[in-house]
Amino acid sequence: MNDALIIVGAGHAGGRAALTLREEGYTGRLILIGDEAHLPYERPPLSKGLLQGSIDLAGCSLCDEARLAELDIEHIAGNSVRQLDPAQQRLQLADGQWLAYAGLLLATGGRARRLPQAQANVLYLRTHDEALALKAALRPGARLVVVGGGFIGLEVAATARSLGCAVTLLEAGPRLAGRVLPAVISEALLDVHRLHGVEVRLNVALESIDADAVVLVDGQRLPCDLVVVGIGMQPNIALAAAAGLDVGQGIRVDAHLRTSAPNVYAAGDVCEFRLDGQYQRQETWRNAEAQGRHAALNLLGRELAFESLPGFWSDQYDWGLQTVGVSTALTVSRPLPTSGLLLFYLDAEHHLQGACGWAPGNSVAKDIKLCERLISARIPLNPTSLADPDLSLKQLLRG
Amino acid sequence: MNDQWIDVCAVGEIDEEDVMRFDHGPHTFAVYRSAENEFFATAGLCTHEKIHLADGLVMDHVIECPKHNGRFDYRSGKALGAPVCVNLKTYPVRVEAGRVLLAVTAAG
Repeated sequence: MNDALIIVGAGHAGGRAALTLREEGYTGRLILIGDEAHLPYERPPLSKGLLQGSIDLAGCSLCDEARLAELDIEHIAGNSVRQLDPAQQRLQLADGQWLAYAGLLLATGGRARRLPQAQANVLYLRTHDEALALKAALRPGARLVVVGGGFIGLEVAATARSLGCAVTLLEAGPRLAGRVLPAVISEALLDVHRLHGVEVRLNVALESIDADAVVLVDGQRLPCDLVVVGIGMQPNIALAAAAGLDVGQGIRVDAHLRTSAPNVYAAGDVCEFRLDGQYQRQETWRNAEAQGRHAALNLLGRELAFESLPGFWSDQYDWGLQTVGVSTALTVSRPLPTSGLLLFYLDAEHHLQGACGWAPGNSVAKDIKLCERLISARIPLNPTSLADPDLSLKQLLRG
Repeated sequence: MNDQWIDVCAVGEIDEEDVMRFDHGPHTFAVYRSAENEFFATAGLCTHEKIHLADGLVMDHVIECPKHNGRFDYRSGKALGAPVCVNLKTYPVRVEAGRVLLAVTAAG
């Protein structure tokens, strides 16, 4: 078989897959196609360090040009794929060129969901170039309205405060990051943002965005210089859908990350896979890293089921949130000596299924890593003693 | 080489199988105590995105970065796979009169 392995989407998942293929010994032709002009990069710094100027694109990149050349990875940048022909195992680039593949990975990611309202002074944040535009606009004293109390909105609000902007944050729901966080952590986030001078408004709906103000449905005008909208991601599924692949809210895959088309895999933000029996996507660094690597291994014929635990982190001001696993109805709460909080999620047999922690800096990381190991170990735990901060999780793990 | 030995802390200030951050001048280090009660030191920041390693988890001679789960053998500094590919610098450590000492001459 002389045909290439092709990766469509040169973000984190696609980039990690390309690097993994070479590290695992694949020596055939390898093509990485992306519509952005840049080398594959990680997105978490875009809402924090990149806006603050403490990290640049090179610092976020998975590798440099020299490494890509050394690994003989053909990077087709700034070019999108026009169509996919799974029956013939080939695809066509926007410039008309056809490329045949022996195996294909779709890591097409997504784009920032747009507001339906007409928009002046509205910025979104998904790509490096969008982050640079936002960086230029976040001047000290600028009046910023953030639309959306999810992680992008919250991290942009925190960074903008650190840069001296006046920030109002609008959330349609009753609490912050309510789709993914327990109420007690949403409350803690609200406290820290209010403490840092963000005017947080919950349960509000937008009427319009004017050139100099955001207007709420109740008629209030919020004068501002700039609006950042963080209301979620729109997965890039059009290419797969047009080619007849099974899609839902993302490109659907089986336990091996295989799509419904032969020799076509999906990974990263766009990948819709079953977790606890439910189709869902994971828009996280951790998932892009794990699935990019995993899809690469399966492109090489490893036939491995994807069983990696979900997880994410968020940094806001000098606090850090980390989660691992999934939440359950049986929650045990442990206060941390740092004034932070660690939540354990247990199943009916008191096996750990997930954990969520909120504490200064990265101080909750050790506990979350130990929880990850406790989830895998499937040791039955005692809910009462888990609540005690003096009980060492490492001791539990060691038995 | 004219190693300059710097006092880090008392032996008991680092738990067994744990790590502590140690700042000296412009440099930051991670100082480890293994389960076998040996001491080691590496550069303090992960080679991936410059996160302080001392917030990470130490188990079985491995430090795992608090953010991206990059893993290093802290005895040799060896990076153990993606997302980390650049090894950590290591520094000599010795214990004298109950104190942990670190040689910083090679710090960079």
